[in-house]
Amino acid sequence: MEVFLEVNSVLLTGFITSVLLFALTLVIALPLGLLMAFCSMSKFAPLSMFMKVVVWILRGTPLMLQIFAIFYLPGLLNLFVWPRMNTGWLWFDQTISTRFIAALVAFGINYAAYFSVIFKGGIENISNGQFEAGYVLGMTKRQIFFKVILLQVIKHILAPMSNEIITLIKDTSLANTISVYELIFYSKKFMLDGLVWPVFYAGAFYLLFVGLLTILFNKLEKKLGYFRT
Amino acid sequence: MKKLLTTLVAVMLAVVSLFTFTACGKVEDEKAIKTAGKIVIGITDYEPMDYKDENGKWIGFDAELAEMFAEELGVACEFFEIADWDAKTIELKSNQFDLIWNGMTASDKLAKEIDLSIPYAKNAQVLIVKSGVTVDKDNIKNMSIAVEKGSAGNNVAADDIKVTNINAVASQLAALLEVKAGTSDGALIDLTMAESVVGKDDFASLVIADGISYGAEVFSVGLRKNSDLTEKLNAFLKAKYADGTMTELLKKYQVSLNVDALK
Repeated sequence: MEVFLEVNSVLLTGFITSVLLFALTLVIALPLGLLMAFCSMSKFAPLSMFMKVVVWILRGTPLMLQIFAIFYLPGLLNLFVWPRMNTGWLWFDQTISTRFIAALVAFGINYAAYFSVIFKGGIENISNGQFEAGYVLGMTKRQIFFKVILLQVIKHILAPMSNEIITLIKDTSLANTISVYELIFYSKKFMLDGLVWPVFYAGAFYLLFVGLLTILFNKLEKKLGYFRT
Repeated sequence: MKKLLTTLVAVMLAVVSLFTFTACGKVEDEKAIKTAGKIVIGITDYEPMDYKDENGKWIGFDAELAEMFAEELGVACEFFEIADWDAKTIELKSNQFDLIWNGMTASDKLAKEIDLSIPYAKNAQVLIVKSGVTVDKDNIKNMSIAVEKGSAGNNVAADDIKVTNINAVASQLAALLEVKAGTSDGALIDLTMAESVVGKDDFASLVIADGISYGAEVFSVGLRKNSDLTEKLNAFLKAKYADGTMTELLKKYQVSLNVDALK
């Protein structure tokens, strides 16, 4: 029992880091993804072309490779070295390392690329008639987007977004490759003491979190149910 | 499309060329370390070489030696735990730490990538099986053997024993997990690691196979290629052998290593 409690408290330390990486990635990737979606729909050809190449690279290479590139390439190419230190920022008694920041940058950019494609699909799905109706009523472009289009888009994209977001919490374990001490890292350490079961038990933390996310998305879906499109 | 491809190829070539122009001459690590006021040592949690005591302080045979070396340089000693042993050379090269000091087995392949200190200890590879299993030394090559990929155990299994069924996994611990789960018949791992883990808790059902031991590989400290610290470190290691510090540390941490390579 004592061991069980100790394992739980150690795994929780790692899980907090995983969840922080998850949450901050969303904070970065959601707005950045929307911006990237607008850029790739731009009528200015060089911009939309550039965005398409960027999205192609971000979706076309493994996330693990992107994490490696962002953290190690600057040092290998003698451009700059990610400072070898903690930022000094605290989160639930944990200091945030620059490795965490590097992972966050990689996750944020990568997930923004996936989100942008979903956003783009959602926006293009709205019939032109709604834009036209807005114009006729004398609304500005901005008003049409935020007051008419946005909520419908959100309803359209909810299912694919929930898929991506659920994948994200499990992908955080990739930060392990640049020694961000997250849940999987701590769970593996118990093997040194001869304990194997914590590795598998770590799955319960992800399961619980994904369960909560699923409930949240179901609720959101019901709330947006009044749009019959 | 053609233009796009040309641009892409140009960018790729530029990236590759950046890697090939490496600086010649000595790398001035000593100056950089003294400016920073600390030396950072790359390690993993690996009893009895580098591990944490109850207070969370890094101790062990290697950890104590590293601290003594830092003291000699007059700088603070900081340890950084790598989560993935595969990343050790890229971490060193990208300046994330200054030395790899973690019971690292020296090899020719490694020597091409980074500088290696003189060997400071000899280690052996042992076979781990489930207790009760009798091992016929001539039959090991027909067993399925789990090893840490790229490790000394991997080399022994592939080149010395010529095992046909090698399961290369991520770490020595994962190799033990293979044996415990029955997905491999045996595992080849370091003697030092085996002595600290095999027989404990979940690994209680495993034993070190009697009378079977391979290789005479040696441990070295890793430094950046052409580092100006290499000479200093070699002299330090020799001195610590000569004054008996090494032998004392072996006793303190109950390590079955042979340090006579430094004689």
